[in-house]
Amino acid sequence: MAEISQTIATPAAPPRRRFRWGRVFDHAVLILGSAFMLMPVLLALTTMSFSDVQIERQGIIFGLSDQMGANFTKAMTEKSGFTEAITGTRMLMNSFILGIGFALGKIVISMMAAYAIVYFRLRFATFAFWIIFTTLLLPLEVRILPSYEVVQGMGLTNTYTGLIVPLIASATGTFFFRQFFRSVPEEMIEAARIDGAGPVKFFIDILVPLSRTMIAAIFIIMFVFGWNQYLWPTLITTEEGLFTLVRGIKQIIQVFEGATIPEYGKGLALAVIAMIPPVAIVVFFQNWFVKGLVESEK
Amino acid sequence: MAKVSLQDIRKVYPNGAEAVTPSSFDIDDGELIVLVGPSGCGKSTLLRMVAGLEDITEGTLRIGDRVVNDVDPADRDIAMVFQNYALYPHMSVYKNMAYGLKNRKLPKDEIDTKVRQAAEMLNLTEFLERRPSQLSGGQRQRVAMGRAIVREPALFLFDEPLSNLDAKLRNQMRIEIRSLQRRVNVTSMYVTHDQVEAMTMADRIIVLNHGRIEQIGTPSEIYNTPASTFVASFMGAPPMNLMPATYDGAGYVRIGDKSVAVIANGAPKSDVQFGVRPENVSLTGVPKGAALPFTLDLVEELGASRLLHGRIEGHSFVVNTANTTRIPDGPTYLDIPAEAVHLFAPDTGQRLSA
Repeated sequence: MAEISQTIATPAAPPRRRFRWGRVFDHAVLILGSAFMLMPVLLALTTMSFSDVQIERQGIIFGLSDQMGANFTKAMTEKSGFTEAITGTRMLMNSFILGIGFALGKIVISMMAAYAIVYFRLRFATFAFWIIFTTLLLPLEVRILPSYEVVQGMGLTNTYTGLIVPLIASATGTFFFRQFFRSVPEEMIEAARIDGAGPVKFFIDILVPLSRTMIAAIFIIMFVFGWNQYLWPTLITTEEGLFTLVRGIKQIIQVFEGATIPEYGKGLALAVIAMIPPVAIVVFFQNWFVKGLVESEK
Repeated sequence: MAKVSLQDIRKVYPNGAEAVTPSSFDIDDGELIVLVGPSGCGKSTLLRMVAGLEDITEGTLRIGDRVVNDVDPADRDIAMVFQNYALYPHMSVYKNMAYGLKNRKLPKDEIDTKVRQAAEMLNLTEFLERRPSQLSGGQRQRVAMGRAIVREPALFLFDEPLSNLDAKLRNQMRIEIRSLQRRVNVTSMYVTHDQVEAMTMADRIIVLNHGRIEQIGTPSEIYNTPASTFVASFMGAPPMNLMPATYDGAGYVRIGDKSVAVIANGAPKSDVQFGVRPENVSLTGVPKGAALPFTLDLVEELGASRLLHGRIEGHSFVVNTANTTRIPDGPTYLDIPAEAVHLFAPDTGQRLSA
């Protein structure tokens, strides 16, 4: 975008540009909007640089102090929680395991489901697809009790498997891949058939590489989605060693409530840390992301 | 390299539509057969049945000495070139050509030799590491050809391979494909809707209409003795002029109140379809003998030749003349030689005259 507007603006730009109120207004709206969205993050960052005592006294603080580094270190390395079994680093790792496992699992499952629906003459393929699609109407929150019951019955509570597997069926992913596969020209499959590629070979040698950008886009969405899971991890993981960042933050602040001052600085530091990976992924992969959703390489 | 034989091959789709009526023909070793017809005539279905991409409802298909009705496409010893080339976009030219061989578990160095040989033959050597998206249309076409050649199949199948190219490139690729097929001497089936392609490339042409074979013959047979009005009007540009007339059983055809001498080999007196190719008549300014009056409406300049659009006895008629022919100012007449006239049955469209 930046490049485009530059190439257009540069040759036409006169030495003095005419001042236009419309432009000022547009920018004001944009700046206000982003300030509004970013303010909480900024406040978390600034407040974090004070000690817990000051935060307890003053609440949210606008300004900078010297405790930021200390709070970060504390958040990442200090063992905490009820059983003193978890550090910020460990929670970060757990979150990554959940985010990546969740995203990869969803991609693998939904690609295979879409492959079956699109390429095989199944008796009730369309019906099966709509069944999968209607599960969009049944998010985790609706089916949380039965899901918990099943996972608990299988003895998967407090395991990564129990944390990830029940979440990876994905109607959205299946839908995206289905649409994508349907846009792959028929001749490609026929050429592969004549070239001696069976269904598995075709999937791995041709379809998966063709879906690269699509996979990247879905990975980003699903990683962020998985990273931000709160309710399910809260139910399934009771051992603090398995806590993810998103659910851990609250737990940690709560622990010392009562006589001691809650560790506000540490909590805020964890919150900021929890925000960084999803933001980083989206920032670094946004090109792929856009590519995957709007164009296909055919 | 092999003989291919189709015996009463028939295709009926599950919805009951008969795409190909029982058809039989043989393709000789090294021969290039062109299947031509309008869209929906079943030519692609026929080709795809030979490829194994469509099931054969009835009949027997032999490639070489083997009946291949139920053989997987990969094991039929065929290679196919598709209309949109169907190159794998994520693979380099080299990998595109090598993929089929790799799946057949050929040793790496053998694959390498074959791919480089084919690339050499097709002038693709410098593009081996490129992706299809970095190639021009003609180059992609050649990669698709290369993918077929490296396999050294018994039979090449071409499914309208030139229709995605612009006119100039099409002429060039037409010659390239033809000379390549000659050089590797592989039996080939070629599907097209373009009658020029059919005429120029084929050893023999099969004209299809509504899933039925109208005629099988060499290009000159098809052109000079079309078996039906369909073939007559489909092959040749501009198409043959056809109009209703009456044959008097004695060597003359009456069109309106004029008569034209024909060679009819003892056909009985009957109503007929009278056909003349636009290039087989000559234009004159003087009404001599059996010349028919021709009302000229429009002249189309084609450079080397001219198309004169007009009417004979109320029926539209096109004349193709050399650009050197002078068009008379006054009334014009057409001289139709007896040997240029084709007669067809008015109801079935079948050829009557020899």
